[in-house]
Formats: sequence, structure tokens, C-alpha cells
Amino acid sequence: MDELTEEISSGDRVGDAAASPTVLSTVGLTKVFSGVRVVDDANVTFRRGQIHGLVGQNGAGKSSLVKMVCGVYRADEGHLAIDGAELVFTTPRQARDRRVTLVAQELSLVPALSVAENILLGRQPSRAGLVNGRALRRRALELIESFGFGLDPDAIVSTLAPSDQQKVEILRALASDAGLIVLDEPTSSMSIDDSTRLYEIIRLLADRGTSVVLVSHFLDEVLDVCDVVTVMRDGEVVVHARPSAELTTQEIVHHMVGDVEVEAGPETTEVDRTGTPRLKVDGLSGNRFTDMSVEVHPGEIVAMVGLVGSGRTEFLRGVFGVDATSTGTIELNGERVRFRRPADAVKAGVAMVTESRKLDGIFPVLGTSTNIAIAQPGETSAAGIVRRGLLRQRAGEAAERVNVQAASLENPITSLSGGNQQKALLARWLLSPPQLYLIDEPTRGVDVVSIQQIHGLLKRLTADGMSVLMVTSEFDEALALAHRIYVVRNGRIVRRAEAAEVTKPMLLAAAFGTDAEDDDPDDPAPDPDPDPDDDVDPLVDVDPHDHDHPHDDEPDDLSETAASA
Amino acid sequence: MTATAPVDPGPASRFTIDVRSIMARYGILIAFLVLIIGVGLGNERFLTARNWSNLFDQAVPLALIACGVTVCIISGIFDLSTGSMLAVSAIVAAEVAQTSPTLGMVLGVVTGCLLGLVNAGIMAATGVNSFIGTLSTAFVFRGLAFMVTSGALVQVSSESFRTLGVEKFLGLKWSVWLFLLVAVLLGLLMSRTTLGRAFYAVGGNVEAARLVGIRVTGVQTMAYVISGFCAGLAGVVTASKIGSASTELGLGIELRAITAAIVGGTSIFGGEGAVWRAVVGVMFIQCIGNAFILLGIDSQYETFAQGLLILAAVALDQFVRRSR
Repeated sequence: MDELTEEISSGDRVGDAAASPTVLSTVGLTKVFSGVRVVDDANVTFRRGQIHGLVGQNGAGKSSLVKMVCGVYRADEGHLAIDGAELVFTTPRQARDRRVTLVAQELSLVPALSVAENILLGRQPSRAGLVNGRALRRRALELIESFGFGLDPDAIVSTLAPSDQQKVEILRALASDAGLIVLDEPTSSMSIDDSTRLYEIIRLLADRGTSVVLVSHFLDEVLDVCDVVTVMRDGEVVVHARPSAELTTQEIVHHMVGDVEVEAGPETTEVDRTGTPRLKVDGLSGNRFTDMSVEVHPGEIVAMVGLVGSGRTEFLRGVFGVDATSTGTIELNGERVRFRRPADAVKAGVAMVTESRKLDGIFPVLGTSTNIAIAQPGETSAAGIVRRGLLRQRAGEAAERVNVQAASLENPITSLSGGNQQKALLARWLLSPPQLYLIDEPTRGVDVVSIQQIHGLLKRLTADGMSVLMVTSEFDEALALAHRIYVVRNGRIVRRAEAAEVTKPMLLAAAFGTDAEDDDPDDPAPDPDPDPDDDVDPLVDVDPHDHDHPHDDEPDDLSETAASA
Repeated sequence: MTATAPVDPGPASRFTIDVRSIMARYGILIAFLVLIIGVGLGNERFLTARNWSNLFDQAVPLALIACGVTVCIISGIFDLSTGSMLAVSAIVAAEVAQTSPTLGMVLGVVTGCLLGLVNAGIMAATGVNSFIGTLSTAFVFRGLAFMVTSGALVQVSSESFRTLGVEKFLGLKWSVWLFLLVAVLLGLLMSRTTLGRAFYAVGGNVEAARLVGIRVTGVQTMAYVISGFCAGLAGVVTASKIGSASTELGLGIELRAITAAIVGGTSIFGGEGAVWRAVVGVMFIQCIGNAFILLGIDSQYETFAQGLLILAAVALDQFVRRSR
């Protein structure tokens, strides 16, 4: 197996990469989640010494594809071809034995151990079962230095910044001497310097013969760094290993979106924006978002689109009182509010459905009907006593409105498919519909039919006067549902538009940052510093009150920027 | 393969799922019945009203605490201070009973509630994990008892104070009736009220609970206070039964109570369980001890066998759950 790296090529990379031997190829690889083919018959070839970019919209199937390659998911159909063998990995361990390594988006470090120990976890130099601390430190340091990462091998991982933790994760993969390394969004939490350094390392690795797969949203970087690019759309490979020199970001976006005509907005009801807005957020800043202003009127659906990690979820959490916010104001029906905890928001008639069902959505051991009824206990109880018959009936009605398919609503909610769990969570607040419904990714993991049902439901609810503020990574969903769309990038609103007046490419361009000439699309996660302008205009700092001023003229702002109220 | 996912598991698999889920749900009851029948066949004195009256009587303090601790575990909390709360409450009750027996009982229970409130306050203010937090307050509370009594025994002379733990009504001690009342009320609280739902929600997924508008700290405070209430009541019952109170009361009972709750089938991970399970768990463990005496087995094996049986019960439960 050493043949993958043993003949280190001298200088023949980019040009000859296309002709270099295949390290691994996927043959008809398919993954089905609750009836949806998230990866459909993917045939991709990864070559030695090649940097292979994998791009696509959220949910296009990139992550699922690489997870099958790395043994995190088991393929439902198809197989991998390595050295002429047909394989299906069922555990990451099997993949690693074949020298295929994944650097996942979610970190998998041991927080209490040192950098050196984490890098060499599972392969610590040892004698008779005792870890040789000095050898461990020396080998880790060699690795750190050979890649020019400024990491202290003795530092405890939990004390490191996320970007440094990411470096440890990458070094661990490098330490394993992998023939194929998959990096899933490696730079999403890195500064420009660090990501530049990382790309240099990736280049170095490829020159040494390693095959690198880079999953990324930053198209400019992908074109810069990668030899070839594969584009996925709706689970299918639409562009396979095209040399990056032949592509532009615009072309890539075009392939990501497809030829679909932008649907004329469906029968969306007119919204009267003359009255007091249901929700008016002015200049709100908090963890990972800065100076965001949003308005939602009665009967209106407003969508916030952008890349994963752009700060939209954090904004919703800030409004709902889950996380603390620093500056800015929130008005509900014209009244100043500040929710210190979600319970306050619920009392004021606001509801929220989060994006991570498992983490903070469902109550796994409770029945579906209890899961649905739990948010509005007053609807199914009298004087604190639960009326079981009423609960079953009301929860059943709510479940029916969103078409939850379940053998029995009394079984634990975990017995439902992911899509049906999602629908049950949407039903949670429908016993007595709230005034304002905050929804993070309303249709994630939901099949096509259910998406239509959920969309219909949201339209009906808003026709009755409810307001919806939703976060979605599906640009089509935003265009189909919303009256108004905000595009969020790097913790800021970069564009506000009437849904009827924009197209998907326009939104994508704003989200990816390809529409602004002098803007830096790969600017890392937003600076927690509430005043990122001080290096641009030192005068801003003269008056400390200006920090909170929503009308700072930012040079990189677009004309449509929603800095106004 | 496309479009909609099949939801109906089909008749065949549904049947097996039902058998499994019944085993998962009521396995401990079945094990308990098997134990009762087995020991009953081995010794005719086991299944007599008198024996069971005694079994219940002995079990009351442990059973009370197990019920309170069950509420905590379901809410995702460990309360390791129940034994100390029992001792402090018993001492307060015994001291006050010398002037007013009724007031002594009331204040004993109130003491338990207040100590529970102290627990809740400390955890809420410091954010310390309940396991280590109540482990500390267990020392603090018992230390308090030492300071108040200087380690001396507090005798109770009042006859009426001792009615609860000594006198019988319809064949059972008053304390047993009191326990049954508390167990039923707590059972109803957990299964039939919105507060009960909140306990399950907080223990099942604390983040989700917060996001649906449940005041998590408030709910957890209630759990600590209920546990304190039960420990206080157990203290009063104990003092009433033996006619005295000392700092040594309730040593180690907190772990036995948690063991009983888990043996009964309440999930150690929270969010799942029931008050009746605590009662079954306690009686299961009591019966094992009783069986040793009645079957004339050398009592030096008792602790060993008890440990093994508990392990077997929990392992079986885990096995059935996993195969679900």
C-alpha cells in the first residue's frame, strides 16, 4: 500500500495530475435518508497528488459523499474502488486502515489532553505500554514545525482557539500518513493567515503524492487551490473533475444552481407594511453577528439566507433570548422587549424551532404527542393537571396539520423518521399559533412532498396573520416562501431584497461574496470585537457612542445594505 | 426507495416490538413477581400479611427517599444529600417535639424542604454539577447536625410524637399509610401534571426544555425541594419510630435510594422513569434481605448476593433496552 506515496514525484504536479494514477474512485455511490437520495449514483475519481475541490449548495450531498468515502456513513448502493478492490467502508477505522482520513467539520479532539497527545492520539510512541512522553513531544513538534503551524505542543487543547483546534485536527490527519485526506470545510473557523498557511500545506501534501479532497464554500479559494473541481447538485455529480483553470466562480455557481428558471413567486399574499411591524430588530449584535437590523410585519414571511456559519442561527437565538446580545434593540408590536430567557419570549407570543433536532429539539424518550404538546402546556391542562384525552386529541390535530406520519403518536418520537420528527417539531407550537414564529431551517432533512406541505402550512398560517422569520440555506425555499429576503455573510446583513425582485444567482453571489469587487469573501468568522471598523476609519473611535451607531458608513457595504431601519 | 419512507413496520415485526417493549417497561415487575413467588414457595411465612406489614414498615424511610430521588433523577439531577437531610430533619423534629409533638413533625418536614431549597440555590448560583454539589452539602448538613447536638442523642418522650412510627391503623403502621399517600401524590404529580411533564422534559433534553419556554432552574429547584421534603419526612418517621434522633441517622441511605430507583427502572440518564418504579425497586431489595432470613441462608452472604442480584436486574434492564 505504500506505493501511494513512495515514489515521490519531483516536479510533475498540476499539469500531469489528471494523468496520475487513481487513488480511490466511487462507483455508483448512493445514500438514502428517509426516502431522499441525498447522494445519487456518484462516480468520482480521486487521483494521486491531486487537490480535488468538491462544491455544491448546502444539502447538495457533498458531506454525505465524503462521509461514505471515509467510512462515517455506509453507502446504500455502489462501492469504492481502491487498487482494483471493491469496498464499502462501514467504520472510519476501516477507511483509516486503507489510509483514507477525514478531517471533519465537527472537531473530534480530547479537550483535556495536550496538543502533542492529540496529534498522536492512538499512535503514541510507547514502550511496554508506557507512553514515551519525550518522544511524543518531539514527534509532535516535528510535525508542527514541518507545516509551519505556530502551536505549542504542551498546550491543553481546551484552552486553544477554535482555529488552533482545527489545526490540531489537521495535524492529526497528517500524522497518520494518509494516502487520501478529506478536508470538510477546514477554513470556516480560520483567519485568512491560517487558511493561507493551510492551503500551502495542502499543496505541499499533494506534491508529496497525497490525494487531497477539499470541501468548501469559498469558491475563489477552491479555484485558487484545487487542481480539479467537482460540482454536486441535488445529490448528483453535475461537473466531474474539471480542471480549475477552465472554470470561473460564476460558472461554478451556475452549475450549483442548475438551469432551473427562477420560479415566479407563487401566490404569495400581499403584505401591508404600513402598520407597526410585528418584529423590529435594530442594530442587534451578539455572539458571531454584528449590527443586524430586521423587520417582520404581520402576515409576512421573512427569510434569512447565507452560508452555514454566517451567523443567522446565532441571530435567531439572540432574538429569542437563548443567548445574550450586546447592543441593539428589539421591538415586538412596537414595544421594546428584551428576552432574558426563552420563557419570556414564549410568554410574549414568540416561538422558535431550532435547526438541530437532536441537540435541542426533541425529547427523545417522550412520546410524539407529548413532544408536540409540551411547549404549550396551558392548551392541554386545567389548573396544572394534564388532561390526557385532550392532549392526545390536540396533539393529533396539530400532527395532522403538518401531516406527521406515525404508527402511533404515543410511541417515543425517536421511532419516527427524521423528516417526520421535523414536522412534529413544527407542530409543537400549533396548538395555539404564536404571533411570531422563528424557524431555523424549516425543511432540513425533509422529503420533497413534506417540503411542499410545510410550505403550504407556513403560507396558511401567515395568511391568518402570523409572522415568520426563518433561516434557510435553501435559496429556492427562500424565494418560494418569503416576501422579503435578507442575505447574511460573516455575521452581517449584506443585502435586503423583495423576494419578487431577486434571483437565485443574485442571492448566491451575495452570500458567497462574489458580487463585491473589493470585498474579501474568505474573511473568516466575524470578529467578536463589536467595532471592526476601527482600522478603516480611526475617527470612529473618537466618540465611544459611535460604537452603537447603526449608521456607520462602511466602505465595503453594498448600496442595498440594510443598515437603515 | 424514493418519495415517502415506510412508517408501518408490518404486523410481524410489530408483534416482536410489543413483546420487547413490554419486557422493557415491566421487566422489573416480572422479576419482582418471580422473586415473590420463588421465596413464597420456599417459605410459607413470606407471603403473610404480618411479614409484609413488617417489610413495608422497615422500608418506609428508604422508600420515601427513593421516591424523592426518583423525581430528581428524572429531572437529570443527583441528590446525594438525602441521608444528611434525614438526620438534620430528625434532630429538629425530636428537639421541637419535646415542647410540641405536632410542631416537631411539621418543622422536621419543613427543615427537609428548606435544605432542599438550599441545595437548589447553591447549584443555581454556582452552576456546580448536582452530583458533586450535593456530595458537598451532604457533609455540610451532617456537620450542621453535629454542631447543633454536639453529637449527643436527642431523646423523644412524647407518646403522640411516636404514634406515627409505632401505632397501627388497619393492620399497617401510620407511617406506611403516610408513605403510600406521598407515593401516590408524587406519582400523580409526575404523570398527570404539567409540572411533571416539565421534570421529564428537563431531564430528557435540557436545551430543548429551555427553548420551549420551560424555566429550567425553577423546575430543578422543585425537584430538589421535593427530595428534601421526602428526606425530611423520612427523618420524622425515623425519629418517631425509634424515639430518638442522632447525627448517625440515614448514613448511606442516599446511595441505597438511588440504587432502588435505578433497579426499579428509572433511567440514570434522566428523562425516563416513574415513582412506582422506586417503590418496586425498594421492595425488591427489601425482599432479597427478607428472603435470606426466612430461607435460613447464612447472612454473611447477604450483602454479596444483594449486590449480584441488583447487578443482574440492572444488566437485564440494559440488555432489553438496547435490543429495543
